[in-house]
Amino acid sequence: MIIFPQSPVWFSLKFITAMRNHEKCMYKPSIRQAIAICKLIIARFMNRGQCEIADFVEIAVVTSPLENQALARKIATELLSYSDPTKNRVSSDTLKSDMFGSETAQDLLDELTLDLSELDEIYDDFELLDNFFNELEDLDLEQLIDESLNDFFDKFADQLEEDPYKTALKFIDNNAVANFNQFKDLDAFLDYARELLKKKINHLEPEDIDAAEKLGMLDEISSKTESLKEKLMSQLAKDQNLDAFKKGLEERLIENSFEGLNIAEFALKSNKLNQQGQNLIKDLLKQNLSKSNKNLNDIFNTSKILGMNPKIAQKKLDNILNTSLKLPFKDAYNNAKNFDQYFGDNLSEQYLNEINENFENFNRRQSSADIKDELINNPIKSPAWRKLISNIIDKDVEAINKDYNDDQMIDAQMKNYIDNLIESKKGCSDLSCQSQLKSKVSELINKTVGGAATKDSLSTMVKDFNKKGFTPDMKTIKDAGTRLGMTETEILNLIEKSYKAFKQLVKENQSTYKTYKDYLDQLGLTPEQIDEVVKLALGGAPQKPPNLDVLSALSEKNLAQVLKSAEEMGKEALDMAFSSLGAGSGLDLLEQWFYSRHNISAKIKQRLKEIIKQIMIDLGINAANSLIGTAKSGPLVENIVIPYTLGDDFELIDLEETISNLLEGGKTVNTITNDDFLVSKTTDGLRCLVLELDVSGSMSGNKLSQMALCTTMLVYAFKPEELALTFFESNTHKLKNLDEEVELEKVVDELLDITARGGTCINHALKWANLQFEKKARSKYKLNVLFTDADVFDFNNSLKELKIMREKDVKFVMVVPKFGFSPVMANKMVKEADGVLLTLNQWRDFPKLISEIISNQ
Amino acid sequence: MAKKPISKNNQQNKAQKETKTTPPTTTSTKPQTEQAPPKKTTPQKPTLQKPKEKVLDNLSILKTSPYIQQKRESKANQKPNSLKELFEQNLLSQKEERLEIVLTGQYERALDLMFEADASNLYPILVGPPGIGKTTLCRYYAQSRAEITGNDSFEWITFDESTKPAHLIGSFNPATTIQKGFSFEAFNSGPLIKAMLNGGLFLANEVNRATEYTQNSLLEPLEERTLSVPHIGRVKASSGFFFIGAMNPSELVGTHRLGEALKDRFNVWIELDYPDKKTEMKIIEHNNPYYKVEESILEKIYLIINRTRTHHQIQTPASLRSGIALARLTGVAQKRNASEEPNKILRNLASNVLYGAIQTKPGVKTKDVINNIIAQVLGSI
Repeated sequence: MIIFPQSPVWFSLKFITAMRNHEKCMYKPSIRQAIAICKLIIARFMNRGQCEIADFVEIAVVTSPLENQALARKIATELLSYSDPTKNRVSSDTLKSDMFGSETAQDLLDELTLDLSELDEIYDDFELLDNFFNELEDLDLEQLIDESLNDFFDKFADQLEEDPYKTALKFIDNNAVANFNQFKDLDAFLDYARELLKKKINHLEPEDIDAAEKLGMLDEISSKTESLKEKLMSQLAKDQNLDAFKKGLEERLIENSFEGLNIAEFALKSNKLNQQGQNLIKDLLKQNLSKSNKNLNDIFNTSKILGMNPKIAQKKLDNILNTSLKLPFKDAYNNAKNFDQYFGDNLSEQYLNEINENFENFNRRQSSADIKDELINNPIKSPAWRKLISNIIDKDVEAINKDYNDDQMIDAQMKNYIDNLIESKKGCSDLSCQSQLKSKVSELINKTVGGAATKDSLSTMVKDFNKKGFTPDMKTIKDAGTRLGMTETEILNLIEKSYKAFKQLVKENQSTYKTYKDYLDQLGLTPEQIDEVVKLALGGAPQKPPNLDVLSALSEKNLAQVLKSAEEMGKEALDMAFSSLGAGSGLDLLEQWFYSRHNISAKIKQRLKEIIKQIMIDLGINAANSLIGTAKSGPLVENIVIPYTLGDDFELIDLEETISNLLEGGKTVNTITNDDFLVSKTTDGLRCLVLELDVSGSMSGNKLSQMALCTTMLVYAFKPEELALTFFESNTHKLKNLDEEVELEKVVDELLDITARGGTCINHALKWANLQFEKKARSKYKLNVLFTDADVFDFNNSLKELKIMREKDVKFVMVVPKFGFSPVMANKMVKEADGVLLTLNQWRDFPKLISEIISNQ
Repeated sequence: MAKKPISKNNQQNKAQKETKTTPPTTTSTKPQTEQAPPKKTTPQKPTLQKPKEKVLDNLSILKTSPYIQQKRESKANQKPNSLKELFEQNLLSQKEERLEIVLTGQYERALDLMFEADASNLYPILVGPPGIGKTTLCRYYAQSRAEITGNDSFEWITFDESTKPAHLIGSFNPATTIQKGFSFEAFNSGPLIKAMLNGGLFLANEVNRATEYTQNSLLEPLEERTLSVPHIGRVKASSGFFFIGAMNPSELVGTHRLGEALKDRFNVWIELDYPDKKTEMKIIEHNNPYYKVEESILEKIYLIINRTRTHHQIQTPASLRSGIALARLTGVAQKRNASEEPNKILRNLASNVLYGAIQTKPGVKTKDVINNIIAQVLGSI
């Protein structure tokens, strides 16, 4: 009777060694885990009377911390799957049937206990060997090889042309560095090759089987290896018994399809199979696909090994496609696409058809947003793709109309949805699919515009969609406008705008800033036209009042040109131009500042900067006031003295204060109570904030202005001593440390002077932030906000710093612009820091979003 | 004195009363002396539930609730229980309350692992989201263990930011210390010391809410099975001492990371997640013994709660407790009004239960998400 499939001690040691050496191991396991594995295996056996491979795997998993468990499962499975089931088993031949109270059972336990105590030493040896091999890598081995090799070749040139020496030479050449001086004769040389091959047992390459045959080591491999594939192949190479090999492979394919495929691949690559053998294996793999519960991943993996399309019967294929509906869409779809790419098939289309036929069920199980994104980013030119995308979009639209009762909300949600679709469309690599998507988007736009709830939303939608290159159908606009009670002029304004009409409006000087802004959003004036309009707006003064509204609107489009034209007209005109600034929200003006300040003459730049600064401060303060969860105290340490409560550390009792208290109270020893004792405590500040701002070249214009505004808001929401700030691009420019005193206005000044340039090297900025938290922050809660578009150069180094931040319990928030950031890098960084990713569409959303994060801390 | 005017209602009532008390006319051959005036037909009034009846409904629900202990009508000369008596009566004792729990799926597996760990002198830690049953499972294990070993010593403490090492180990009462010195009499033993000395079970609940300083005080007991008590000395644990940890995943609010050293001392990591449908429905049913709901309603309750765990706009989903709460409320509501449509009851109650039970991602309105979920499961109105 076999008790354990493996020696628990062997398994635990191998397991923790493999874990320690794996790059994805989050926490290196200690010897405690090895001991725990052994103990738990024995306990499991005592509990259930057996301990199978699955139990070994489970025990390896549960003794690992959660972060390591997925990796633990993988490694344990591999260690146990590739082992020879007849090796290293603990059998009951030496044990009596009754485990309890049996002497030999006690022997077994004693032996295991001894092994456990030796684990420490064995493990130290492993580490020593590891260090030794590392040092070996540093030696200049090439020179050594050359010298000794020449001597050896001179002596044995003829023999080395023939087997087994030829094979031995090739093997040594492929696998190890040899000092040929050590070989006195060819036998020593052969022995060395054999030793090398012996060490490689359990990790053989397919071609090593041939080397083993030539070196006469097949028996040895067969008896010593724990790897089933090596065992089967070595036996096959020796006795050419294809039937036995086939049987072994068949069994494995049934038990573990993936492992079976590995064995098949190994065999096919080993060149030890004749044509008949190869055909046999290939047939076996094809037959395997016709078994139940196979899916697209199995087809893909099998075909990769076969190097050909397995050509499955349509009925079987239909079953496979149906089973594949349970797989995550992305995996199945990509495998199907890859399959089509290699073999010129249409599996992906069939898969999509299957989904279309079972759409309702499929849609309930998987996230439609993920499927949609995957389909758009990886399109295939087929009706099935078009139908599926259309189904998904229709379903999403249906959901929006169901979820929201308010028509205005529906309008807003639909617009948001369409905006996202338009943006996603840019990622669609196939032109024909892009065009199909575009027509679906146009269809949606016309529906949405046609159903607009208010005049404002109709106007906004038409304007925005026009900007994005989608012009809604004119009749639809007209009908909607009429339904909503718009005048003909208003409707016409929506449909067509002209420069001539605009100038007329300017001349009349009756319209508002908003009307001019709407016009300008659609018109796109040249600098010469702007110059003309400025002169029109200011030219009538002082007889006619200047048209400041149009100047306001114009300055948000091209501030530099407006000021330049006004400057040319004289000081008074320039003053009037300045007085018109700030009619809008200020964001567009701020954006203009960052875009065009280098084109503004030095003379007026400083004056402009003061205006912009004030706008930014006002906006920042207003937003800061709406920020909830602001810090109550800074990081300055305060000492307080309070009465003792049970549980307080004895050492905190302040003797002097206590004695004074007792004397003042006139208390005797017998009447002392706990309340009479006073303890000193230090209270730390509640919250501190460290900001890193990405000012690299990719962060220009709108991104920069949004970042500057959000930063200003935070600057005015936190106390100066709770705030640290740095810019970074290829270099890091520290603006303020946590404990430094700097005027906040100066910080705003610096923000306005930012120029986006250089690459994005984030590592130093994060290192600086960690130092701030470690050395200077005494606050209970630590918040790190990183503004970036996540297009970083030193991504891997930055992960280390983020891990440190996570370990310090710092709340990490990454703020990225909604469009134009690297989602893969951003998500990875946020995951490493265990933080939150905020995508910012408008800076106005920032106070609420950051408040929620702060108040959840 | 002016006569008090009679209100119109009263007049009508009076008239109705008069008509009611008038004996029915019988058919007779006697000649009619007067022609009776034609009766006025008054329009049918809708029958409204009078306020008095509704108050009774609420009262009757409370009266019949098995969760509320009704005070027996005390006899005139019987003294009410003092606080001390009540305290002693209600003091929890393991022997009195045998827990019954649903032991299928992951819970069965977890229990097996706890037994195996205990037998091997290894320390397990249960990790899972709030409301998954970690503490209940540990308490059940403690009772099972007591039945097998005969040792019913079970101490537990729920950690938070303010938990100090003294709360675990114990502390000297300063006033007594001044009188009797640093002696055992002046020392108030903490739960950890008690469990160690009794060779019992100690549960460290929410262990990752403790500060690192407090967590470090657990290192010695877990490794060496000893504990240093200042001014007294080092005590060692009796045979049978068993330590279990329980915690929420570290990404939840208010948690710290477990220190590396403490992490290494936990040998068995049992991860619990939201159970499968069958198990969760069983758990809800088990925890709702008095206000049973039909299987179909139970399934809907499960679907609503489970949807919060897959919804992409929800950061923290609803726990098992929410399912239990919703089932109980639905049961009570059905008892109150059996004719009301179950979907309608669920629709109303689900919002109330879920509102505080879930946390949405930044920028997402909770109410919108809840309405979305209810509509998905129960259909739109």
